Amino acid sequence: MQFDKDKKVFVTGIGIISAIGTNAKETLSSLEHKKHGISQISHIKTIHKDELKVGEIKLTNAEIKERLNLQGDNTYPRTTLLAIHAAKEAYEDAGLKRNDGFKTGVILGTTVGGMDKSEVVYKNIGEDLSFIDSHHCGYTTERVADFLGAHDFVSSLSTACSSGVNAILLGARLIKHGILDRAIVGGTDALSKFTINGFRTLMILHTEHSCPFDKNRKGLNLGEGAGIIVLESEKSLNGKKVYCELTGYANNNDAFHQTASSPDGLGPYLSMKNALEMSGLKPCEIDYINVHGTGTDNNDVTEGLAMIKLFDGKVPKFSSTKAFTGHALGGAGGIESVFSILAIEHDMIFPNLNFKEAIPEINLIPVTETIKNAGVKNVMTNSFGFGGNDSTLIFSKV
Amino acid sequence: MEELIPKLKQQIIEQLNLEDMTPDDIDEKAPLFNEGLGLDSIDALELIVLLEREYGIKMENPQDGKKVFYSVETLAQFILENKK
Amino acid sequence: MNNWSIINNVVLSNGKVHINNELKHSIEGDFATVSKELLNTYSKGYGKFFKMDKLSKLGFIASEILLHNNPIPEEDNNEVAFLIGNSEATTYTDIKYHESIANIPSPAVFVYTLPNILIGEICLKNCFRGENLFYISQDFNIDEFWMHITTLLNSSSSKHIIAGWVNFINDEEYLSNIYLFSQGKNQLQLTKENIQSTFIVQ
Repeated sequence: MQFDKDKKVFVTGIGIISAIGTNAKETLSSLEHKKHGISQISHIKTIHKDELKVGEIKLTNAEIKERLNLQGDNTYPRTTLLAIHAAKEAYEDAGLKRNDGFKTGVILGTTVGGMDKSEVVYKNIGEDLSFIDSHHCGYTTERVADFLGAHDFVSSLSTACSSGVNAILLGARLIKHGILDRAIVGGTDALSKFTINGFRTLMILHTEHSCPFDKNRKGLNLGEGAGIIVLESEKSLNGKKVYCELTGYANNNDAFHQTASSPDGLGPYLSMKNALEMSGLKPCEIDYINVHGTGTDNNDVTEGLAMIKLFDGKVPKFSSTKAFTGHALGGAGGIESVFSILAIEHDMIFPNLNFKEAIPEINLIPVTETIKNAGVKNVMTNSFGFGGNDSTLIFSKV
Repeated sequence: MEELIPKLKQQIIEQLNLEDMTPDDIDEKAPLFNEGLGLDSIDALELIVLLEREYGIKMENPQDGKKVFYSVETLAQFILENKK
Repeated sequence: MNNWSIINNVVLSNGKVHINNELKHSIEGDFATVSKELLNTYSKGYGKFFKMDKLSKLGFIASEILLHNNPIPEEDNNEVAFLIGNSEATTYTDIKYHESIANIPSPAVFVYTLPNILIGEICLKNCFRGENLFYISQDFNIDEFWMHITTLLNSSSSKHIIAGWVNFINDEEYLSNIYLFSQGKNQLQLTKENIQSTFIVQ
């Protein structure tokens, strides 16, 4: 095991499923044409149905299973199905083959795990006990590893809403250590009654379509989905197409409160600063930030303050894409990493929907219309989670 | 009011898991948040739960809590005015 | 890596506390009794403790014992990293929250349905701002644990790492086995073998 900090980590495959598309192509089209995926909830029975808007994937579990040619008798929770769907796309996109001699691992982040299934079956305990196996957060990663035949390192992270980004960070490290040649990494979470009720009791759900970074923001819309990418070292590339390079990553704790960011956004500042230092880029070289931007009172203002501090007032073009997809929790970091990679690949900056007026404390205006030929070389993406867990990634054009 | 205040103090202690406190430790006129008892935003949400469960009062906007939850006394006043 | 040392190890399981393999406390009673007594010994007056769920209490109190005679210099606070794993995530609290949905769900319980909150609680108390990683695995596996440690040691700016296994199953079955690793030479070098020889498995 030899650590090489200069070893490059490339992105060679992307896979995504969210409320705005079931693959990268559909997703790009929705982002470009401002087609959001926020709607009323239809798959989950909840008394809060009429007072909520969510970013729901309209495919049923049965439809996803059919697309994946999965055997009829399995009872995978939705979180697992979404992850397999995105992982399969990323794996095929990268042109990977089983048993080709390269060490391949799977690391995924999730917060709800098999909750969507457990909460339905739990009441009738005794009838169907299969949920016990599928409940825990590691189940999904193991099924993805089985589906792809990639078992050289399998691990599951659960660090709240930054889980997906932290899985990418860990995958990159394993490659730099030579433990893996490639890593299939990202995040996944399905909507569940559990999280709907949880965020509702925290009173940070907007009953209408969310408006991140707007003065009148009233909270977030929950979402669901999976974003998974293939990271590879130079060794296994073999001349294949590369999307971009992962040049920076960092994770820091805000050490302030279980759910709220510190007033000056110290944790977010540290993670952005440390990722930037690792990339060796100057602040002015960041062309676009896909911000965490949940649309809550607390997040947007503190993330804004942290950006102002880091960029010394000259904040790069930025947008929150959560008004497209909703906040997919553990899936968000994976999904928004795919968006960041698409921004580089198609030289495009995606709009921040529903923005009208800047937040007075920060006076920052996000990108509100799609920008083409935007000269996107380096993209930063943020994911912040409860427990003060703040993460930043930087992707760079090769 | 005189009966409600000690009862409310006990309920607050239980709802917010202030295990190291007794009702006598809480001054009903002192601020509950920040410098007073040092409660935070999650505690405010728990007080909303307490209002609903014990007194049938629903508070939809957490911003309304700022005045109501200023002290045990203001909370007691609010309960007396809104109790169903 | 040969510049890192194992500074301290605390194992808290079923009423017993071992510090560096030596039995220091043996307390009768359920987890609430045990944790309260330890709090009074090591962190009296920290009222936030009573708001935590049992997993966070378990990890928090072990960290207070771990750091008791080994405080971290304040200037290193941004370089204290965490690596904690378990098999249960927050199942105990998940069930509690799930059951509360039928009535009026509690926001304070919901917050603790994320396992990394326990790391957040330790960071909050001590103002630690380094990297956090929480992983879920079926069993404690020394190879997996070691792999996480090595990647953390080499590629971050951390000067101290609090690492281990914190698992809460129920009031009778719980284990917190955590280490403090720091940069610099000490009696016990940080190696996989030295961890293996001190690690008590549940």
